[in-house]
Amino acid sequence: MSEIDAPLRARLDELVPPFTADGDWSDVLRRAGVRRAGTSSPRLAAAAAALAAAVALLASPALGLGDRLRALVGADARDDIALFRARLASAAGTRAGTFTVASACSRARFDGH
Amino acid sequence: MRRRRDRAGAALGEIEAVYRSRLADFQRVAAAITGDREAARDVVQDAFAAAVRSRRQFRNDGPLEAWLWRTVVNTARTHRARRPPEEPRRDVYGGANGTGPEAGSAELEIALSVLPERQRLVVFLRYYADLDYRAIADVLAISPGTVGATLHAAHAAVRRSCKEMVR
Repeated sequence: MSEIDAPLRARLDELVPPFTADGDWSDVLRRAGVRRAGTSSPRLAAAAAALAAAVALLASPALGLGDRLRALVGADARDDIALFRARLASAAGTRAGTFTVASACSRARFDGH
Repeated sequence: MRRRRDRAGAALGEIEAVYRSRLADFQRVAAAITGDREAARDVVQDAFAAAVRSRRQFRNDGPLEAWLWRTVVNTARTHRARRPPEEPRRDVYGGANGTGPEAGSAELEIALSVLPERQRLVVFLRYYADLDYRAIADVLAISPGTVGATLHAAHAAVRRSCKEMVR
């Protein structure tokens, strides 16, 4: 350490006194355009809410859209083809119900012969 | 500060750790370079934001802290260069009574202002950040020997300008 070290340090301390750390890391991330993990953007949240609302609307029986939606993507329960149906009866012979095996989707394939 | 990493890029958590542990020193050096205590806080925030954005470009060929010091020093230098030359220094002095620097400090300020920039930066990093020669060398991309010679030259220049320091 040179003889000037201590007086120079003292003068420099007068010139620019120490700071008290008052950092704001979230401000750094904001300036950098970085979001913390686990947070989502308002735009993304709005899009998710809109999608959920649309699904709820389409699936709602009150609006009659549920069946149409199902028809769009595949089978309609009302068009099932019954493959096997049998009456169910109690031991006393009274009717107890029906047992049905049905196909929701049938497919035929021709191989060109 | 000598800890090195095996992979390229710096993790956000590592940058945050350096920010939290050395913030006051970063701000102090930035204030010394810019001559503006308030601007120094902004400069450090901007410098760390830039470091966060470019953290994947950090190569593990030196300590992360040195890379962050370099970013802060360069941001402060850019800020000072953009300041209009006629604009007076604003509140760099933090005297408790708010009356500004003592006469000796004013004399030192003048002495520092005429130093070559590298000498000035070495003085700031040595006394305001308490970095050793090796760490200063990493920040300024020079050899530790050059740091010693530069600091010696700065001492000599200050001694010539501020006679009362060696009395």
